[in-house]
Amino acid sequence: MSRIVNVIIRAVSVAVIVLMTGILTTIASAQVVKPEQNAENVAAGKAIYDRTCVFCHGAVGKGDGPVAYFLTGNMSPRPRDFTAGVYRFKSTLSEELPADGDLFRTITRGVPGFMPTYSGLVPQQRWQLVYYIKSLFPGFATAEPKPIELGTPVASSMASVSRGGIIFEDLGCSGCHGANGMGDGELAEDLEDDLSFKIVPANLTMLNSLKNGSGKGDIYRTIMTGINGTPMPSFEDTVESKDDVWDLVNFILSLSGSR
Amino acid sequence: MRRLFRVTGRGIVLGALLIGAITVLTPVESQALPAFARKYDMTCSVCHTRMPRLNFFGQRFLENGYQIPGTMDGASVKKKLLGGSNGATLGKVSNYMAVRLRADVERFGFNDKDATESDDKVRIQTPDVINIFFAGTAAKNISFFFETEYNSREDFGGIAFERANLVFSNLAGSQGLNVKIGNFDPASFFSFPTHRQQMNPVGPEAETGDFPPDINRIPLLPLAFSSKFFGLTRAASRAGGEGFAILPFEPTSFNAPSARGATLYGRPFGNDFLYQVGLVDSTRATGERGYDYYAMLRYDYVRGEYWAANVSAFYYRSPESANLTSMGSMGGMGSSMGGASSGADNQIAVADMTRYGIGARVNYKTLDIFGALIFDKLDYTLPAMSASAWDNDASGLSLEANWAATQKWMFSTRYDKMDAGGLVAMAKNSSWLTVQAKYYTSPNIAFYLRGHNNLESADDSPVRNLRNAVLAGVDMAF
Repeated sequence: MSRIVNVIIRAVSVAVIVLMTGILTTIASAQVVKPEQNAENVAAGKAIYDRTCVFCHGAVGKGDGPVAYFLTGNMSPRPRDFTAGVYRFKSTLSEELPADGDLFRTITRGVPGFMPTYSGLVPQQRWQLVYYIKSLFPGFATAEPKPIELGTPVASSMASVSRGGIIFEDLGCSGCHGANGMGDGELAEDLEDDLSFKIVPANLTMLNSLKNGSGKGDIYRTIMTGINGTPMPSFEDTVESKDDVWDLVNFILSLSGSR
Repeated sequence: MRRLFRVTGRGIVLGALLIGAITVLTPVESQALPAFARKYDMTCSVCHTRMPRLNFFGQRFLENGYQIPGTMDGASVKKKLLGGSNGATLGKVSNYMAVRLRADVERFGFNDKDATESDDKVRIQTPDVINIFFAGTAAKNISFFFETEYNSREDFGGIAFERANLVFSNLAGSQGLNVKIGNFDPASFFSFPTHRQQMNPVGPEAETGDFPPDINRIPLLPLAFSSKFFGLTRAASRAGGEGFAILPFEPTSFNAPSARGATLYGRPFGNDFLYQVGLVDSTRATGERGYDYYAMLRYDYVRGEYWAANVSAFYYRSPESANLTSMGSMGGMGSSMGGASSGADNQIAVADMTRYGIGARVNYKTLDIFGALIFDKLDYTLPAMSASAWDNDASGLSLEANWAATQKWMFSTRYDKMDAGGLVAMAKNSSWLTVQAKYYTSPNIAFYLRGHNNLESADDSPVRNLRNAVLAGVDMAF
């Protein structure tokens, strides 16, 4: 009996190795092509969603998956409720819905600390996810989100950083983020998000913790659009010029020595 | 009852003082994160209800060979690749490594003051269990896990590879077929895994140099997983664990924390059902090599409204795996036996062992409830008169609830019940109630205070002489 089992195990082992080798070497790399938004791709997106997103965002996208409470307890951030149409990380102005590229970017990058990157999905799958997520909120059917224009970045320099530091104070950034950008401003303890969960201001000295991205363009975008559902406002109507915002970006980057 | 509280009072006060001091002295937030979480820039609670127990997402991450569920990100995302253009370096090794330390102060209350050297003493174990992990993906869909453990609790303590395995993932399309080979907990995917306990198992105290071994103290762990039979021995050529005897409290079969073998598992029919089949390298009672085999099926219900559940069932068969012995105090309960003797002298039959059971788990918000009901059966041939001395059936139940009341506090309780089988003259049932409070100074560092209480009437036998235990300690991973 034991000999028979041994023979079977060897045969299975060989078969498995052959199978594995074949499969692993023939997996094709996907092309970066945005597929058409249609029912078929929405359905494909749902299938991916059910395997990957359901644990936090719940079966119907209400942000009520079984991991949601374990993730942060009664603190922000909570998984997005896709049926409410309130999105945080986007390139459109405050009250607008996000552009497709915004959803794609968040899926690709994840949210530092709380949502893993899904760049392990091929781009086509990520687009399909975008389409499925959009299908959960009817407002997307008629929306025409327009990403803001970033303009031309101001090169970082001592002068630019210095101007940015003044703007940082003038706009009241230090109230939440603290004078040194460590997220310890005098208002920091009392902040809540739109769901009344306690929220902690970003520590600007730790760029990799910035949830909306830490590239120059990401920070510019965050300042101009704000982060919906959080105390972080849009400064689009407050700043005098785009160059001021770029100076502020340079200052923020300097807080972590990244300029 | 008054006696119980009087005996444990000093331990509780000691533990409370320890936790109080630590709470005051420890910074509220720590920036340190275990290596696994660091790789993905995520907090531990993405995968854990609280370290070390996995939540529903973490279970899928484990299933998928340390790849994000639904993906085949392999080594290409975040994680540093071993090899590659620059090859592996010592610096890169740290990207794969994590360390877990456990240390505690223990106080055991015994009924029979002559039964053990540890009677009613406070014992400091610092650190008593150290695990060093190496885990990650070597390439897309190929992952590895190595865990060395130094455990001063175990009689055969020392440094050893507790678990070491390779996983080949997504071999038949996404999720359809995965293969794990090496040393691992076969119950990894069961609703109540043997490994990763929120209340760490406390090993037995035993003198295993002689046969049968003297047991000073039984282990404290989920009794559903225990072997449950008194009077059984392993083959002499494969002495391990606690010597020749199969301890009735030893986790075994499907619920062994580490077994060598291979398993196939996957979700070929969608997300709801997980199958698992496997072989375990074993040694027959005759000393010959053989294989145990098992199968498990799990149904997952993951929807919304902050809750999810799963139920699972398994069947495990271990042919000719144990000897029935005629010695009166066999089965690891032989403290009254004088002198050493050979188990082989007393073998009266070879038995097949079968284990089957069901498990279930429910999560609601930060409440995690799970349990396992496991049945064991012996099959052998004996004359009717001799067979009447044996009870061929045994069962065990373990029910546990963990509640993460806040981000800092987790409260746990577990009920264990073992209906023992085997040699009727020696078999004794056992039931325990355990409660624990755990304080997390950060997601990866926890201090705990735990109490175990024997619910059976304590007597002087090795099975029943432990009345209670109080532990206060720290569990950290980084």
